[in-house]
This record gives sequence, C-alpha cells and structure tokens, in this order.
Amino acid sequence: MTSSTRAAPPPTTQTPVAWARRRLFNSWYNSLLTLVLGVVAGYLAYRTILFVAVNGRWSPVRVNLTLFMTGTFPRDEQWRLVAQIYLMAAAIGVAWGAITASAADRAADSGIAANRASAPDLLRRYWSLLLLIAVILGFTRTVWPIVFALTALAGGLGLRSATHRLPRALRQASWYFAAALGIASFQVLTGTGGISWWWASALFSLAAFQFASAKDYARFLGSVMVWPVSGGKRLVTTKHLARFKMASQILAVVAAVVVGRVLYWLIGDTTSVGWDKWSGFHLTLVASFAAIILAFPIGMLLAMGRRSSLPAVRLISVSYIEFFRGVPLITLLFTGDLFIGFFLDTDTPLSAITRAIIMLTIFTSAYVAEIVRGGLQAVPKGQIEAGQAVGLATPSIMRLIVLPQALRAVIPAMVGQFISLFKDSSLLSIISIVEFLEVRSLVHNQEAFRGFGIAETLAFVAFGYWAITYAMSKESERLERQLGVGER
Amino acid sequence: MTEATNPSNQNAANAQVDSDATQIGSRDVMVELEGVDKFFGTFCALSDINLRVGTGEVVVVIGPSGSGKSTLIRCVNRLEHHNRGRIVVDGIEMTEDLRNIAQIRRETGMVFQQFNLFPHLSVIDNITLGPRQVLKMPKKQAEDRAMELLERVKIPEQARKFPGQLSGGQQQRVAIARSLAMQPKIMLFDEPTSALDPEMISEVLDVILELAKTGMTLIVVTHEMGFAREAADRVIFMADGEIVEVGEPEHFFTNPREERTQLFLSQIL
Repeated sequence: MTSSTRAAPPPTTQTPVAWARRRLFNSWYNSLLTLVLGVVAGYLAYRTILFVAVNGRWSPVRVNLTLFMTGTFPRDEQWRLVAQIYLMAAAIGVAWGAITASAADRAADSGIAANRASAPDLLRRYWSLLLLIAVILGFTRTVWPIVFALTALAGGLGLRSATHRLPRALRQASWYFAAALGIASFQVLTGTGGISWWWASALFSLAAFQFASAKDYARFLGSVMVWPVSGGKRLVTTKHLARFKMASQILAVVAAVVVGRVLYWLIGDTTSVGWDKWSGFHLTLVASFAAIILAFPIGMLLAMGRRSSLPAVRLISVSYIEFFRGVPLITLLFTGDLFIGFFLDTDTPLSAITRAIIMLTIFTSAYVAEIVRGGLQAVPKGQIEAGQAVGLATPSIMRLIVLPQALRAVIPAMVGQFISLFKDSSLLSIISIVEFLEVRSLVHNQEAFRGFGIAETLAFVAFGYWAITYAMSKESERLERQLGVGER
Repeated sequence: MTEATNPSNQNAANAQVDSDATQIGSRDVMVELEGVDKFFGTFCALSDINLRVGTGEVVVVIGPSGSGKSTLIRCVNRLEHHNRGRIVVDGIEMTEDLRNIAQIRRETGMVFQQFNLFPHLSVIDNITLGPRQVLKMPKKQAEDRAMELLERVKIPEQARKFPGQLSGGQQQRVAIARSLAMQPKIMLFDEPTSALDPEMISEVLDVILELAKTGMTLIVVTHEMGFAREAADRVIFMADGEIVEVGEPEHFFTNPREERTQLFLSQIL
C-alpha cells in the first residue's frame, strides 16, 4: 500500500548510451574486457555463420534426411508416420486445450485473473522446437513434408482452442479423447489397427458416461431397484451415488470391450510395422520418452518403498536402487540384450528395442527414486502430523500433502535426469539399434559420402538433441514457476 | 534426564497431586489418561500421568520447556505412541487398531506451534481438505462451511490466498479454522502463540477464548499466563514429565502449593 503523498519509484528507463556506459564501460578494465569478449564473440559468430551458410557441405543431410528422421522404417509404410504426426498433433492439441481450460477455471474459481500464455511467451518457450522443425523442413526436397507439418500444426492449434472453449461438463471427456488419440497414434504404426479401435472405443464410451450426471444415473438405477426388491423402500442413498457411477463406468468398459472386439473382426488392420523396424530420430524420441514416462512412476514407488516401515518393501527398494545405480548403463544394455531372453521364457523373444526401453527404464527409475526421496525428505514432519491431526489416512497424506510438495522441490533434478536419459539413448547403438546418432554411420558408409561432411552430419544430430533438451529445460522452468504459486 | 527416571522422585510427585484436584465435578469425562508413560529411547518423557478432562472443560497446561507438555497432548491424538497406561477419548479407548486411531483423530482437532498449514494449497483448500477427504462432504458444502469458519476467525477475505502470503497470526487462525472444519469435540493447542510476533498473539488468543466460551473441550499448552488465568477451568503444572500441581487458576496463581510451581511462576511472572 503506497500512500499518495509518498514519492513514486524513480523511472528505470535509460538511453542505450547510458546503459552501455553503466554496464559495459564503467572502468578501464571492464572496458577492456568488453572489447576483448566482443571480439571473441564476434569471431565465433562469424565462423558459425560461415560454416552454416557458406562452407558447410550439407548434402549428406539433405540427401539422407528421411534416413535421419525415420532410419530403416519401410518406405512403403511411411503414410503411417504421417498419420501418426496428425494423430499426435490432435492429441497434444486436445490435451493442451483441456489444460489451459482447467487452469482458467481454477483461476476463475479463485477470483484471480487467468494468465494465459501469450504468443511471445510460447515462442520463448518453444523456439528451439520451432527452429528444429524449420531446419528439418529446410532440408526437404519435396513440398509435402512442409504441407504435412503446417496442416498438423494448424490442426493441433485449432483443436486446442476448440477444446479450450468446450463447456466444463465435457472437460473429463476431452482427457479421454486425448488419451484415445495418443494411443491411436502409436497403434497406427504398430499396425494393430483393430486394437486401436478396441482401445479407442473403450475410452470413448468412458467419455460418453461423463456426459450424464452421476446423480441422474444413480437415480435411474435407484428407481429400478427400489420397486421390485424392497417394496418401495429406498435402497439408494446419496452415499451410494459415487459407487454407482463407478459401476456404470465399469459397465461401459465391458460394453466397449465387446464392441471393440466386434469392430476388430469387421475392420481389423492386420498389417504392421513393429517397433523393431523403427529407427532414426523417430526411435530416439519414442524410446526415450517411453522410458521417461515409465521410469517416473516406478521411481516414485521405489522412493516411497525405501521410506516404508515394512522391512521387506524397504529391502527390495534399496537393493533395486543401489544395484542399478551402481552398474554402468552400457552393462545394463548388454545384459538386457543378452540375458532377458533367458530369464523371460517367451515363445517370441522380445525385440531389441523393447529390451532397450526396459533397461533404460530400470536404470533411470533407480535415479528418479533417489531424486524423489530427496524431495520426500525435504517435506517437514509437521506436514504429515497436520495431515494425521486432520484425520487423513496415510495414503491420502502421501498423495495430497507430501508428494505434491516433494515433487515440486525436485522438478529441476528430475528434468535433468530425463535430459540425461534422452542423450544416453544414443548408447543404444552399441546393441545395434540404429538411433539418431547411429544413422550417421549408415550415411558415411554410402559411396558418395564416405568421409564427406562428417562435421556437418554431427552438427545436425547435435542440433536435434539440443533442440529437444532445451525445450525440456524450458518446460521445467515453467512448471517450477507455475507450481511455485504461493511459495514466497 | 536421570532425574526424571528416578522412581522415588516419581512416587513423591504422585503423592503430592491432590486427589480432589483431578476431579472434574459433575461433568462427563471427555479425555481420560490413566498411568500413562512415554519414553523416547530411554528418556522418560511422561511418567505415570493421570488426568481426566471433562466435557466443555478448558484445561491449560503450563511448565518449563522439556517438561512433557507437548508430548502429553500429542499422546491424546496418537501423534505420539504412549508406552504404558490407558487413554480414553470420548469413550473410545485407544488401541493399536488403525480404525480406532482414525476414530479418535476425528474427535480431536489440533493446532500446532508452527501452524503446519499445507503450503501448496490455498487457505480454503487447506480447510476443506479434511471434510472432503475424510467426511466425504461435497465440495460446495465444505466450502460454505469453510467460509463460515473463516468469518468466525475474522479473515474471510483471505480465503483464496496461499499460506505463504499471510502473517503468522492469520496463518494460525487458518489452522484453527482447519481443525474446526472437522467438527471435533476436543481441541488440542500446542503452544499456539509461541511462534508469533507479539502484536499477533492477542488475535489468536481471542479466537481461542471465544472457542472456550462455546463450551468446547480444550486442552491448551501455553506460556501465556494471562490467557491461562482468564480462560482456564483448571491449570496443570508439569515438570520433568510429571503433573506436579493441578488447580483452579485463581488458587494456582495466587497461592501455589508446590515449591517447583512457586519457583516456575516466580521466574516467568
């Protein structure tokens, strides 16, 4: 509260000359430093631009762009990748719209003005990804990838604003819809088209049940049950409503399974490109993000297991964590490649990529467990006691009080671990998986590019890794800021 | 440490407690502790505690730090596990059964020295968390009740803020509202004003005083002697894990019987 009689803060604007004098040339040695660093920076920029725009021999990348992106993926089946991009864009668009809409709702509930991300904000956050897309499109030799990318982008953004405008009652449904799209985007590749129908119909019918209010549904069930069973006595009370809703959803899933099965027989697509045929940048992204998504919950459970009061649970967690943290990732990858088949006696052995994802997940989850444990320990004991005093049960205290605070505290470390996993996926080449970096050796084995443009292909691959990890770290910054609300 | 575990010392203390002073007149018993012992390792934090608190009674517990005051009330809602003796809260005897403990915790509300508000939840969410999760109250109803309680502690305008944005006194009043939201029969206060700046102490004590007037059963651990005098039906003086003296405030502050009580009061008054 500033009283009107007090002076306003002095204006902070200043001329560029004044700024430079104050910040760059405020003493003879700082002036010298400014000049020296200016010359060095200018020289580096000059050499970089020269390399990128003038001297660089980019033909190995230009000619082999498809190889870099999708590796040995069968060329005839590439429509599947295009379909995946569209479905993925749609899934992200719907999920994003649902996120921004519920954030806006929450803000409205709290009577706070919603701060929707502005276009410059989004640009600041995702410029590395946009630059990556631009660079990749810059290397294409036909116009189609550009058309696909732009229409997918437009479609995703369109779905985002459409979902954002949906009435609140359909919010839950849009989550299911996004999940169905995401699953379908992968099953269009793995070719179990029938199963994707199966999944999608299950999720769609779950979504459909969100439309009807639970109350109406239970009232209907209640009216059916009251009359014949108990001669007019009400069997259903408000306490039962939630249970009936869940029962109705289970019923919906069962119905959808049957429907999905029928659909599978009718229009099932039995051709496929199994992921043992995936490679290149596509595989790098899929394998590392699959491992990230799997390692997070496993690591969280391990962290809680390590702090459990049950000795057996604690022993298992500790041995898992200490063993897999103590072994180099390369050893684990070889182990996975050589031994999983022996232990898991399956008729068809797991593909190399499945094994790789399993090993990456196991390795990362041990680190995630230690990171989460650090966060759990940072939550004061008083928080747990307050939860107990309020009467919450231990699982609720964990879920509602401890974990939200613990995870917030470890976001930077966690994202760091995920970034490291993303880059470590380049190690998959040692078990003869052709991931993004390994594509280079295919390229330079070609007659035309033997020993040609080595620096350029390296720079291209490095840029691909950098663009993704930079976006990840920006996203972690944003999460931190967003979740840090009220902590000051 | 050694002094507290000395058995002769313990027996002497028991003999000194006037049996009349532990009586609660015609009131129903709300909280009963019988021969309660509590150890931290080998350190005896509570030694043979016998206490009955009547329905609607306001009991203030005072004593030097380390005397077991906080441990005493933390045993009542099982934040501490007592090692010997019997604790009965509102007719429910405390056992090892988790359901039994949950039941007792539903009867009791607790306010902590360090507030222990949930920093990641807004004020209203702090208050509605228990009712919605434990009592399964619908959101709307829980929020209406929370607003009533915030009116009662005189900070309804802070409902949408986060704990970190409030002053200490405001935070403690939110903590009181959070406990009251569970509609407890007994409120336990563990030095509710010790972490507050001096000018905020009275705003919290006023809220507790008003609670006392509504006929709720309160057990308050505090160093605020003025409050003890004004609000308490009985004052309990503890030292070295034992109840040294119990009495009505008037008698207690003007004419304490025990030497240790006299010494303590002379040091702080």
